[in-house]
Amino acid sequence: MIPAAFEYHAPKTLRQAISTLRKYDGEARVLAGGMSLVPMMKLRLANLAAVVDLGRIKGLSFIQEVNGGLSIGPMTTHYDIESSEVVQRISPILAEAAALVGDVQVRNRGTIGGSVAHADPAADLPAALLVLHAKFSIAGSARRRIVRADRMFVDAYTSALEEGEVIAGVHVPAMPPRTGWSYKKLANRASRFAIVGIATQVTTDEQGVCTRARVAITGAGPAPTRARTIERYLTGKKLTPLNITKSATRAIAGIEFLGDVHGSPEYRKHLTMELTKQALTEASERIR
Amino acid sequence: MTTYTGQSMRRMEDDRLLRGAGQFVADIAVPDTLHMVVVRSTEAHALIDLVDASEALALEGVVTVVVGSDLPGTLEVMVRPGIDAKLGAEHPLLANERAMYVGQPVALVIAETLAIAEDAAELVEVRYNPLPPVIDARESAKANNSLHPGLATNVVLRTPVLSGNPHAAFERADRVVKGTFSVPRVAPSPMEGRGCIAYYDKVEERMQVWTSTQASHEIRRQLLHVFGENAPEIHVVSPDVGGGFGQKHHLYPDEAAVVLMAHRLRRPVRWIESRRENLIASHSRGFVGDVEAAVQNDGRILGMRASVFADLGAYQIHGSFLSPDIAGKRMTGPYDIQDLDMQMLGVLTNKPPTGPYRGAGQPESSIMMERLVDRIARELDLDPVEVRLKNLIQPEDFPYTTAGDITIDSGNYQAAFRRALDVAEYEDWRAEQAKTRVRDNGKLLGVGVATTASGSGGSGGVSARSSFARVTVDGEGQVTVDSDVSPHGQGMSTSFAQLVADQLGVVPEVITLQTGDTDKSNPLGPGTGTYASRSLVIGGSAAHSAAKEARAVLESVAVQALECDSTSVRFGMGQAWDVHDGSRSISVGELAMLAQAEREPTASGALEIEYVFTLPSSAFSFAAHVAVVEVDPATGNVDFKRFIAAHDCGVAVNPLIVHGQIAGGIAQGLGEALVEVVEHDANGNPSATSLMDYSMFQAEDMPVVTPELLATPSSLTPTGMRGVGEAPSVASPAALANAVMDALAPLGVSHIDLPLTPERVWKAICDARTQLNG
Repeated sequence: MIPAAFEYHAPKTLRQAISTLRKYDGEARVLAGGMSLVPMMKLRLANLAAVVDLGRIKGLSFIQEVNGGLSIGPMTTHYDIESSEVVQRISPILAEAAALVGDVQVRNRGTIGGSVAHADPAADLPAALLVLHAKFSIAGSARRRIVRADRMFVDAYTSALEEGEVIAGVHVPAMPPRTGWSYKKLANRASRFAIVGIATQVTTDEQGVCTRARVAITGAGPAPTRARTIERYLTGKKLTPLNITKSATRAIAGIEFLGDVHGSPEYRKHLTMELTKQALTEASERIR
Repeated sequence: MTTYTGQSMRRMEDDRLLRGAGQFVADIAVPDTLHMVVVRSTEAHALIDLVDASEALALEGVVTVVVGSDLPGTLEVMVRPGIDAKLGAEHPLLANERAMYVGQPVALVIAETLAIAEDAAELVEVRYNPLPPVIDARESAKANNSLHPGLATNVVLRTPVLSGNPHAAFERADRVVKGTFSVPRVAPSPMEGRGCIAYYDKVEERMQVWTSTQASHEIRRQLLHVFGENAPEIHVVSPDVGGGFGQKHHLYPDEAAVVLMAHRLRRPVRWIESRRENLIASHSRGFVGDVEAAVQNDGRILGMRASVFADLGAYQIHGSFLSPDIAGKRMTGPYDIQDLDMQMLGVLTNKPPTGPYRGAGQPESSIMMERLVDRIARELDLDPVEVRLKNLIQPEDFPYTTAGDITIDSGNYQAAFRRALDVAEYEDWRAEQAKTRVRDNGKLLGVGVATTASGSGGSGGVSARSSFARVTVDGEGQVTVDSDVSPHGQGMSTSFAQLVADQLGVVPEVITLQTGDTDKSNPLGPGTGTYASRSLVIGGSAAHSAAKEARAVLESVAVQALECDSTSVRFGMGQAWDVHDGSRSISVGELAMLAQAEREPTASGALEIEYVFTLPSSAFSFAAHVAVVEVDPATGNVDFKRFIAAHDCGVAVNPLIVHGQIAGGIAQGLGEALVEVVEHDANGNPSATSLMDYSMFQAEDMPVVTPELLATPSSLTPTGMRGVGEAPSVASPAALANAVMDALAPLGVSHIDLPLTPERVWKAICDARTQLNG
């Protein structure tokens, strides 16, 4: 259980990291917290020419309040996010999802940038970032580019990152008033990844009519995804139990459900509806 | 004076272990060591057409690649008189011509570094010609040929139990209650996997072996068997061991291969098992049984019949017979049932061999028995507690000989059961259920109980019930205890010290326990190691008895040295004194030297007392567990409300350690009932090959366990103790399964195969609803 031989680089700047990655022409990977990459290398599921460790680059771990929203460094750990008073206040769903990642040891090392770039189809943070309409600042080419969360998670273990690109920052806009949120997850008992996880954020007007609904699903299919059918269905309606129940059955639209030792496609389909109902119910109760 | 025995002393070994100062096999550095990597079969059943190692051998640093034909030798397989076992299929060290399960060692790569060995192992090409695998034990038993050429059947073990007149019991019964229950195959998964380092010591002219084992003496003996006629002398040491649970009680092919190759190459060879290897190739449990009880309408069980299949895997390992044999003989658990017809078959399949795991047959039989008792209660509309109270062995019936011909010396099962029910507030939960079974949160309330008896100290011959101890007291008053049992998490350095300290009148901190070294503790004596909840019961009793003898020797010298009579001598804190004149005292160290001067010289020059303790028969303990759960019908998820574990393990030496054993056993037991299972698909591929997919109970999954200790003294041990290591893993899965099934009963769900994963629970609820509609 040791990896095949590889080169190890620990650059001091992001620029150096990118130029090193480029030299290997796709045969190198970025090491952030290592919670997924290192086991994959040890099991020889990932055989790499080189690893570029971001751990020595200063200034990649931070949480800042910017214009009422958040700016988060890619090397910020799940633990830092779950325990941050700023995140809890500005984007509570992100703190809630971060607190449910893996176990304490994983949360102490695993990072937000690593979670997004690895694009595990059952990861927790992508679901929260999808409903938050997060944007990712990506370094690689001459100028940084910005990718929206709903363009980021392309397929299982495939993000929108190109070769030689690194996530440089995560930006989360402010949460509008009268917004409620919830992240509901049934974790598998081995890795604690989601069998299904549902993130939702709902906003109403003063009459209690839903003006904006966002629902994202992780674990169910090949990639974390928005449930736009529900979002459209709920917008303009009051968040009554009946409307929530009716919307939940629409959560399964367009998902190609996975089956594995942790859950059959039928069970994931059922959980998607059930947890959507639970998440929307909790979110509607949390609207202030 | 303080009595240490009975105190909840903190474990003395923990400081060293928690600081990372433990010395496990992988920590042992021998210069010039070669590294071994095992190439394992990727096929469950196949002819091996070719093993091509040419590319691997071409890699610089590769010393050799060994295939089956290069490494003859077979593992020793144990049987007991009275068991019908066919041992024709000898267990080879490496698959030769035929691969019999996924994970079976096919070739060994030995190289100068681990990295080179792992790289080379990837280059070994094995060409398989697949054959249809046999996966299901029940199907395998029906087959009219064997998966091993040369054997006529796949049923290689029959260990039947026939007692009383079961036929008559079923004739006069009011009704017969039946059930088919399975106990899934699991991966015991100790925190430290297996591992072995060996070299040929040219000076001492013998093999030096370090291995992560529960039984160094057993490993030595089994290694001698593998070497055969020209076996070298072998010295085995088990250093610190990070959990065993039965998995490390016997020799495996890969461990034997390390020692053979180190002998052949005359260089140190090391193999440290990976988690993946441990998960794939070392399993336990895997039982399925049809069980039926002849019952009276008042809940009294008159007799039982059972037909049970144990999935042995492709080969037998040393103790393969143990779990089936024990499960059969202990089927009736703590109940007074004399009429029993038990058919227990051990069956071959194309899966890894199974061996004993914490409880060794007793969790298997208890799950079947306890589920059946609950089913009896449900069919007769009785409270499951009432049915148990009606059938438990009564205090006045001890000594009681079971249908499996096991004599239990003493017990008070009703008292422990009632204590568990009281602490759990059982009646209140039932009253709440009578009002509503659906909680405010929409979840279903379930209450489950299990009452189980489990043995301690081995059920086999004299050697299984015996242990050696040597107590050495030097001139400084430092005490060494040598024992042939060894710890892998049980806290023996502390509990043994407590027992010995009280006898010698010293503080526990001066006592050092030495274990696991076949040189140090009677290599030719009993020494079967740590298993079957026996270490404190037998090994501790041996240490206690040796210390007691040492005390008598010290006392007789003290009488002379202090010039007083024996009733006036007191011992404590490393001193002896005259109770009538406290100024007259002498240290235990001085006394030891004075005593030793009068005795046969010893190698150490210190006072040495040796003792072999033989337990007359297994010292049974009793456990009653009560689980209160909430089942979420929407997801199938199970949450705990209460978990009460009442244990009568006799007089506890260290209640804190007992509590630890209870919590640990429950973690494993609940894991088995709720999440753990090794499944193989139709091609014999395992469902999980890493801890990303193999589910085990983790700390955050544990309920708050309320342990309750009762202390009915055993008449079989000098201090009245009984074993406790396995009892919690025997009772807890059954209590949990009963609680979940109790919660689901109103929905019409009567059975779910373990483990009770959310999906299985949800599916059962869906199926029951569909049935109701239909």
